[in-house]
Amino acid sequence: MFIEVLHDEAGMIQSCCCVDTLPVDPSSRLFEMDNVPEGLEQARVNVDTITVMEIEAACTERAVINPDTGLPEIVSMDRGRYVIDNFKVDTATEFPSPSGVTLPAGLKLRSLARR
Amino acid sequence: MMTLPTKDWTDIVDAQVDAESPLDTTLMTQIRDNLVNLKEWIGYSYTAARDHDHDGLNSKTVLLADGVVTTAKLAGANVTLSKLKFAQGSWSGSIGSHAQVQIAINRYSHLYQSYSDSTGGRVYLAVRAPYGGLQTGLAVFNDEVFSVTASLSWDYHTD
Repeated sequence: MFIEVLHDEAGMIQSCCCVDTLPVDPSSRLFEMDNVPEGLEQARVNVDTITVMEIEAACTERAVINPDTGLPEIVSMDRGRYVIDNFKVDTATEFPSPSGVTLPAGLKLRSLARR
Repeated sequence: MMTLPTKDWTDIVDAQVDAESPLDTTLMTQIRDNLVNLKEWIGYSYTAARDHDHDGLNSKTVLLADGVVTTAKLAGANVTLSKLKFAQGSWSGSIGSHAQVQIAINRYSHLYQSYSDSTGGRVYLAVRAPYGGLQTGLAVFNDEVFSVTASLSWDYHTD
């Protein structure tokens, strides 16, 4: 999974894009926002396998009982929404681009931290 | 797995069956053993008048060589979703008033879910033609006078 986020100085994520594979041009951004408020940065996130498994497990479709109606229903959560609600960007750490890997221009490589 | 025949096949040479050759024990045994070999090789312990149909039980299943299945051999509606390799993409976030986010959508993508989380807020989707740095993708517009929280999910075919 590849994750790209727009976050503030505190690491709080405003936008998040998750894809299973990179675009045809791996040096391009996953998303671009116009009128980006000052102070927001866009970063590519280096996520460990366990965290990816957690995100996937939380967002997979599953059957639950609706507490209001008492009826079963299928629910799922958007992966980007799960990342926004449960994680923030660790702004204290920036990783160098791995050898042979070209990061999109202007993006930093950071990691996630729990909110 | 099919049980091996109890008797091995033996080739009977011309010298054993020419006009001067006797009907000896060796020849008769070989004939008997070859018949047993055939009987058991046919499969399913050779039940008379019972065909073996390569079901993996009465006989070995047929193994297709690579690349031999043609389009005509596929019955209609048999290429189902489970046979297609899909990957998933999603974007969530806030879009400012009269602003947009441009998302790089992979080729052969299927949009299946988009929604706005903000009460009374609507977003619009548009296919984005290639321009500048971002690949072909979708633009999500917020036409409201306030920020809208929205999400977009899509599946796409991969190798």
